[in-house]
Order: sequence, then C-alpha cells, then structure tokens
Amino acid sequence: MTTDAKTSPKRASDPEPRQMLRDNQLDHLGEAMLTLTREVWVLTDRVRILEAVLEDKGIDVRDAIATYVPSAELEAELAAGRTRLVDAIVTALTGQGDA
Amino acid sequence: MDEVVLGQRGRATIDFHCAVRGAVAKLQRAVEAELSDAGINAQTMPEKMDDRHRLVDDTLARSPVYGARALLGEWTAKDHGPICQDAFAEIRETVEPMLRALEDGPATLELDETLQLPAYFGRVWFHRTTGGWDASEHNGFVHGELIHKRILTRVFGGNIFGHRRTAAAKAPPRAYRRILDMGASSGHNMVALAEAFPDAQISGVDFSARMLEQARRVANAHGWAWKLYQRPCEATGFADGSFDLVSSYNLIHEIPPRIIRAVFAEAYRLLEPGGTVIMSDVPRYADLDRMASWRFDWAARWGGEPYWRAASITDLVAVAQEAGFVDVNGGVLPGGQPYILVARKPEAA
Repeated sequence: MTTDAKTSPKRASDPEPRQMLRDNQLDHLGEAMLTLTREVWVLTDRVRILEAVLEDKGIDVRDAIATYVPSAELEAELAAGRTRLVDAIVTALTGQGDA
Repeated sequence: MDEVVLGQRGRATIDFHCAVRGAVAKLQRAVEAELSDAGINAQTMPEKMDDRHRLVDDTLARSPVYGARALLGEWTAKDHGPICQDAFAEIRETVEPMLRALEDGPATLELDETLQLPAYFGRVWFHRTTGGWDASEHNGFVHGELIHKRILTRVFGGNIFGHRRTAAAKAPPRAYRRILDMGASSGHNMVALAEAFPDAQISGVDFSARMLEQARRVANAHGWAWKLYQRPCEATGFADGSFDLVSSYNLIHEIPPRIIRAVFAEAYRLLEPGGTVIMSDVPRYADLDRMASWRFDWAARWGGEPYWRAASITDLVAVAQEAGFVDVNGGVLPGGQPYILVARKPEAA
C-alpha cells in the first residue's frame, strides 16, 4: 500500500512509502478478488440454507447465533476453514494456481 | 448413471462459477459493442487471425471491459477443474461405493499399461486441466459427471448432449451392427450412439484411462456391453473392415492436423465397404464471419485448446476425400453448433 504524502502528515515513526505488490501481480489481485467473492457466496448460500432448514423445523436461531460462544472443537474447525480460505487467496494472488 | 447430490459447498461453488461464466458472456457482448463503436466488425476485421487479435488488443488496450473479460475468462478457465475436484472430495465417501459397484457389469475395458502417449496428447493439459486428463484417480467422474453435466450444460445452453444425438441421427438409415467411437472419453457420444442403434455392438477408443473407466461405469449403469480400449485413435490395431459405422464427437479439435488426417485414414481402413463415418466437431472458421471466428479463436487461445485453430481451418471434406471417402457432406447445424461430416466408404473399396 502506498502513502499519500499530501494528505497524511509525516511522522518520524512512519516507514518509507513502498509498493508491496509488483505491477505484474495486478492480474493475480483480480483473480484473488474473484476467489474471495466465490467464498463469500458459498457462505451466503450456506447461511441462508441453514436458516431455511431450521425454520422448517420450527427453530428461530437468529438471536442464538448472535450470542453463541464456539466450543474448542468448533473453534478448531473454524480455524481450519479460515486457513483454507486464506490459502486460496494467497494461491491466486501469487499465481501459484496458474495452469 | 444416477445423478449424485452435491454437498452444499460443491453446489454453491459451481453455482458461483456458472454465474461468473454468465458475466463473461455479457462482457464479451460489451467488448464487441466497443469494437463496433471503433468501427471494427465482421466486415472490417483483417483476414489473418493474428492480425485480428493484434487489432483488438491495440484498440481495447485501455478498455476496462476488455480487461475484465480477460480476467474473468482466465479465472473461470483455471477454476472449473479445482472446484469440481473439491465438489467430488466433499461427497467422495458416499459416491465411491457406487463408482466401485459400476466397475462390474457387461462393459469391458482393456487398458494398456505399456502405452506410450504421444507428445501431442501427453504433454498437453487440455482445457487447462491441471495435470492432464489422468491427473487424479476420479478425473473421469469429475469431468464426465460434474464438469460436463453441472457446468457445461448450463454454460452452453443445456443441449450439448442433444447435439450428440442429432449427430448420430445423421447416419444413413440402416441396421448398424458394429460401431466404433473414436475419442470416446467418458462415453457421452457412445450414449447417443447406443440410444440411436440399440442393437449394435459399440466400441470406444481413447488415450485416457480415467475417462474410459468412467465410460465403463456409464455403460454398466445402463446395462450396455460396450468394449472400451486404451488405444490411439489413429492406430487402433483393429482388423480392416471391423466396423460398419465409425464416429467421433469433439475429437478433431483436440488433435493436430497430421493426426486428423491419420484418424480419417484409420476410420477408412476400419470400415467395411459401404460403411459410414460421422465426425462432429466445432464449427469451421470458413463457415463463420470474421468476428465469430475471432471470438472462438480468442476463447480457444486462452482456454487450453492448442489445436483448435489449426483444426478449425482444416478442410475436413477434403481430408475425408483424400482418405478415400465418397458422398462427403459436411455442414454446421442451425444455431451454429456442431459441424457434422458424414461420408461413405465405397462399396468397391
């Protein structure tokens, strides 16, 4: 990310401006955006399906979800899922998935 | 084969993929509208295909629409294989017993572990399939059932299997008894042939063991006694005159021109006198206007189709005639797909 010198006052602790992604990563950035969007859709779909399943069973879970604390087992499952999501983004961003 | 129920993730990723493919189609129309605004159309495009690509690239060099079309096309080209592999992995435990059960039945499969794949096949990742057709144990199911039936039927209008039935129906009416399908893959064209000629013994050849395994499952699911062989289409090893109908569907654009000629020569050799050949494939560029053929060529260029252009400019009628066939008729169906060539081996041959 670059720093806009005109709008951000320089502090002694500020690092030098730099461009972290290379110009030839622009396409990979676009693909990463699509991959991320796909994963967002999968979750959107899943949440809506979950709500529909529970509603079919007469259960309204929206308030319960808002206050739920995951167990250690569930947290581990979520962590694995997060890792998979991040790995997919990194794969696209770096071009490692190129065929 | 019964249609499997996908898991939520697999279904949702495929749904999303198809949505992006829909966006690609819209972007393609927008690209061509921008070209039209710049005075570039089927009448003004240059004759040479490479010149057309250069003209479009230069004209739309700063077009966000063209960039987005390229990006979404690139992403979907690489995305379809992995997401279907993932969709299979999600249901693998429930599907594998069915797949194993369908290995047994009336169909037979002869694999050749000593087969040396020629470079034109072995060194190509067709359709940008990572690792090639045989990269994973269940690639046949993944391609035949998931990619073809869950993506391609939606993206290409849902009639890609109907086209195969239409092609089979182009055979001059007679009681065919011995049919060979060249480039049988996972058996989609063999299904059309089996439906059209239920009393015939149908055989299929292909390089891909994984695809042939899936074809065997398809045959066994129907109770059909197909004979499947892992052999080159251009050198099948069958005796002269072994078949009365030789067919292929979408084989031609996956092989270079010298192999196209060898395939037609092999089909001629394999047919009994008076036998019929039906070769179906993508449209000939000569039958398309310059914008339409550029559109195909652009998609092939970035879609893992190394032989598409060379095959699409090959005059298949001339190739068939050079092989010795007579009554050669080739043409594209109304709607633009597919091109179907029908010809006959002379009775006196």
